[in-house]
Amino acid sequence: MDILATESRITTGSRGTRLLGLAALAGVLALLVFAFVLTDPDVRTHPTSGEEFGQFDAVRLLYLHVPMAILTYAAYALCAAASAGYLLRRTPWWDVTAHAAAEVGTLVCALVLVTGSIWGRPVWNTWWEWGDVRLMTTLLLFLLFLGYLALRRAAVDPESAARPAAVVALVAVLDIPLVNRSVEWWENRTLHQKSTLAELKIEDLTLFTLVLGIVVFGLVVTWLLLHRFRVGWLERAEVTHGIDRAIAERRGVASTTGVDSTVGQTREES
Amino acid sequence: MTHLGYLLSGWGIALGVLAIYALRLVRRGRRLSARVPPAHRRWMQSPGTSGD
Amino acid sequence: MTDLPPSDLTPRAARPERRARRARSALLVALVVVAVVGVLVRTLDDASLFFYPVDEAVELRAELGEERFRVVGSPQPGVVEAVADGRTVVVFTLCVGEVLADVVHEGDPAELFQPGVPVVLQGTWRREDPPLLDALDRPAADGWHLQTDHMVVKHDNDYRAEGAELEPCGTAP
Repeated sequence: MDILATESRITTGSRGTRLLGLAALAGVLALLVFAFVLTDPDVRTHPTSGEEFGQFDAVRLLYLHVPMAILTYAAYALCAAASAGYLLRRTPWWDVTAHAAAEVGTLVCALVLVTGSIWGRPVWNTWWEWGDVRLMTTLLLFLLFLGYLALRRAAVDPESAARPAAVVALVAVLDIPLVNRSVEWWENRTLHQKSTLAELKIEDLTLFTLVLGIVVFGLVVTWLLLHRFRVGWLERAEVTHGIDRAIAERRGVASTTGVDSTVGQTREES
Repeated sequence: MTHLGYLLSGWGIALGVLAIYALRLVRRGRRLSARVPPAHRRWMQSPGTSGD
Repeated sequence: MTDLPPSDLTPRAARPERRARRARSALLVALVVVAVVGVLVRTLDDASLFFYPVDEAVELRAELGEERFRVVGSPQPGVVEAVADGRTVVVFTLCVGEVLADVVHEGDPAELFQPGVPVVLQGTWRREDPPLLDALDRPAADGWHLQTDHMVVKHDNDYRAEGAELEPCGTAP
């Protein structure tokens, strides 16, 4: 069976997304091998006492948490860019892209909070620290985009929610620089360490595995974004198709009864 | 291996949630695809054909 | 003209399931707004999540008085477990740069509490030397100690097995 065939079953998949999906799956398996087998735990020796210290095996959550955080930024940045595109062009393509990026970004952001909390328990000795600027700005980012999604769900039709949602996205994305820079700007208000990658305090296989994690989860998120976009596009198409069909049926009735059949045509058709 | 419970929870939750979301997306897409004519599914058209 | 049945143009009420969905979504929006406000208030209100580096805490000792505060510093090698007033405590010396402060921490220390890895402690200044002062490698021994009961670790961002840098701390003779 050709699993890359697109017409065998009607789905949102295409040859490209199937290849992408396979690459992402293979990447996740490879990442698990690197993260759990090939890399060493974080163990260092104190220069004066000779005692061992570090994060030990808890460091293996780094290969998951850091890529997720970077991809949250990327997804929300895409949402903001698409929202700006929508406000300028007012076409559904931009709006559906923004909605897809917000949903996938929020899912990934939730995973950032959860994996960060799980990592924090053994390493920091706390699941959560209220008032910590990095944690709170990330939670705020998550809640703002949750609000974005709730706003979209509350709307009667996607068109009416598109403009306010785009504005919310453009405001919410302003939190990203605060999240990212909080560890530098408010060093004494957060337990979170500074950026390891920016200061390149990582090397060899640890660095490779972290970069692999970013690439692999990048593939996963791209796959999710493409499929979520297509689902959003189909939802719009379903509404349009329903209206088109109703008009066609009405026109059919009208033509059999002699009514002017141009009534009810859409602007493009007339 | 130290912290095995935390590692399994973190990786398990993350990969599990992503897998469930991916499956739901595929099922949602399949359901919607069946209701919408091919002309609206642009990604399934071969290059050169017109869009919807 | 036509035999079409007359159209019913009366505005229709929204379908109950759609109304319910919109109500649920509106409730979700309201909950999110409440949560956002809650997070903001909590963040602003909990400005107490500010930690003084040990050198500042020592400098502000008179000002801080009996006040509970958070302090960050690196534990020095030589951590001593002791029983004081029937309770298990950990006694060690915290430092930032060349400034030292002795600590008596009550309760279980953090799992990854290790010399060289900065910790954030919460507690108050006490005007007396800690117990087991002589057992410490290089105590501050300045007639004061920090009495703390909450410990979290502020891990660094260095993942290099060799050549990882530790903040120079308490190295002066």
